[in-house]
Amino acid sequence: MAKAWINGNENARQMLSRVLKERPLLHLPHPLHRVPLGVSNVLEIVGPTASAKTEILVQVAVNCILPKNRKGVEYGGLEHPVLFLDLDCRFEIYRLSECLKLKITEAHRLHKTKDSRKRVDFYDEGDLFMECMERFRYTRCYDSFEFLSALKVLNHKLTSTGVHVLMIDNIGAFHSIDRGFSSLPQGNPARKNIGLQTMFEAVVQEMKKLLEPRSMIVLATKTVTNQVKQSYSSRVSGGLKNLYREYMPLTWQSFVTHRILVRPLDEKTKVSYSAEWLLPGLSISDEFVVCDTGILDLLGR
Amino acid sequence: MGALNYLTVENASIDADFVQFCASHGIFSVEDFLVHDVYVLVASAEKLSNSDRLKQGINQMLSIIETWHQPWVSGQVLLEDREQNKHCLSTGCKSFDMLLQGGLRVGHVTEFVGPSSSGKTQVCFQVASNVAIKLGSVVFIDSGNSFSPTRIKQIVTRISGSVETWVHGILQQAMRNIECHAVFDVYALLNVLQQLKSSLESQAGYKVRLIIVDSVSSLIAPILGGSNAQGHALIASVGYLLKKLADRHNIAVLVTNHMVSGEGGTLKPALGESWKNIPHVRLQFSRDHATNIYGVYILKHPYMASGGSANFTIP
Repeated sequence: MAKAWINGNENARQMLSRVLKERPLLHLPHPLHRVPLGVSNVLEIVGPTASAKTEILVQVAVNCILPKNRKGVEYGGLEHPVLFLDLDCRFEIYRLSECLKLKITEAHRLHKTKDSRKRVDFYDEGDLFMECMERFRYTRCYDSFEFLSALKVLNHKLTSTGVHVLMIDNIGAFHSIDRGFSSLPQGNPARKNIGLQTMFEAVVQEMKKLLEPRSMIVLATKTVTNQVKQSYSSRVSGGLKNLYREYMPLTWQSFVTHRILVRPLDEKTKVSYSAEWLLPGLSISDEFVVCDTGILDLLGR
Repeated sequence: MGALNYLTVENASIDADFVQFCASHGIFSVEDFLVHDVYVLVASAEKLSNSDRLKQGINQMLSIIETWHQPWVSGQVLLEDREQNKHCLSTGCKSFDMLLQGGLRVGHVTEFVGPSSSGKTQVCFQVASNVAIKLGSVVFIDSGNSFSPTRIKQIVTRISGSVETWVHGILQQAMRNIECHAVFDVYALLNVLQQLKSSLESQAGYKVRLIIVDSVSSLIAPILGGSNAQGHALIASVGYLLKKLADRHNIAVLVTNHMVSGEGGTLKPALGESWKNIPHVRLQFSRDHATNIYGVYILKHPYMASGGSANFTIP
């Protein structure tokens, strides 16, 4: 019996192919790619307003909805459906569709230059575009109750298998409204007091249920504001991490598995940004720029 | 919003027993149901004798909350909606339209921020007149008694040409198209917006193309400050209401934000950090007093690079 336990039941190649199949990895666009994301990971993209947070989501979404290859043409995508929950209600589909078109044309151009002699019959650009756009699902929420009901219904209805990428553009959007609720009297001792705390306990609970049986990766942005009064100790010891005010309830904070901080390098011009992984903490700061084609490494330009 | 008692009328599965079962879990409304774990409720229903009936009720509740959120749409549907319904409204000022690639986009909340007398209100009048002449209804929410019908008349006459009698008809039509509300606090603003929302939803032929709030900052700034959490909640409420109106009813929204002196005497927008997150487009205004040329600069735009700028004059 002990021998059977020692004997491996698969070799490294088999294991690798199994693991890679079951746990597909997702990378943020270069140069934010240092930490790969796997199934059941929850990434929080933290940054002040206008720090390219939504842009990162758009780039990841384009990468997810593109196929790997079609008719020999490499598109380099992941072919995963994307569910985009827009709590800021500011998403611009035009940005996503333009990036997607650029990526498709670029893949075709590269393919042509590689195989100039062979006549290639391309997958029709329009059809491929439509196919990708169908993989992107979008809804917007105007308050926390809409957000909660969207999550609850998703739990109830989402049956299709395969990896889903859930994006939440700005998880803290209703923070100030929900905080106001907690002062309202609830009238019955058995009734849960609806407020920021209860709301986020319910949100995290629904999201955990969404993650458990399915293969899902969550990417959420969080807009932060500058620390109003910086205490002396945080200025001395905290560095960047304490530059911005943390306002989310602990339930959410402990649910997050990965965290990256992005911020504009120059407040005035807003062309270049810096990114730093906070969870897992890597003390390397990368610089990037945003242009029509997407996110580019500042050094590689 | 959704007391369970009221749902019994239209939903057979939500009966007195179900309402009582929910009450024993502290659930009295749909909101209470939302913050509860459905699995826990199902598990506790299974212990009771009428479990099938109760589970039907829970399923009915789930289909009710499905109508509570906006439906999921595919990227293609979203893109088609944008191409068909989310046009640009021309501002009537060429350099301005060039900068914004056509004007104010329907569905967006556009913010003008600038110091006093930097042309914010004048551009609001210009846009209002242009839309009222060519496209349809404008709702002008005025918080500083700055709305001037004489000025609107001047602008309309200038836009439409010089023939007196011809202008008169256009003028009357344009004036009829502008609906002005004087509001002096944020609650009055919310009230006007809520009424607008309900008339847009209930009256079939009623259509609005543009909402202007001049200025939103003078309504909100007084309630901000100190440890007052209510102010931020009101900012967010106004913001979401405007976004909802803009997207659902295909309206362009324009708000103005004045500037106050910040640290070290530099000017900063009156509505700062928590407001920044609300508008789609932020445009900064400035004015060169010597030459009387006004400047506008893109602070933030969802698909254009920030930093673009244009100059214009106000005749």
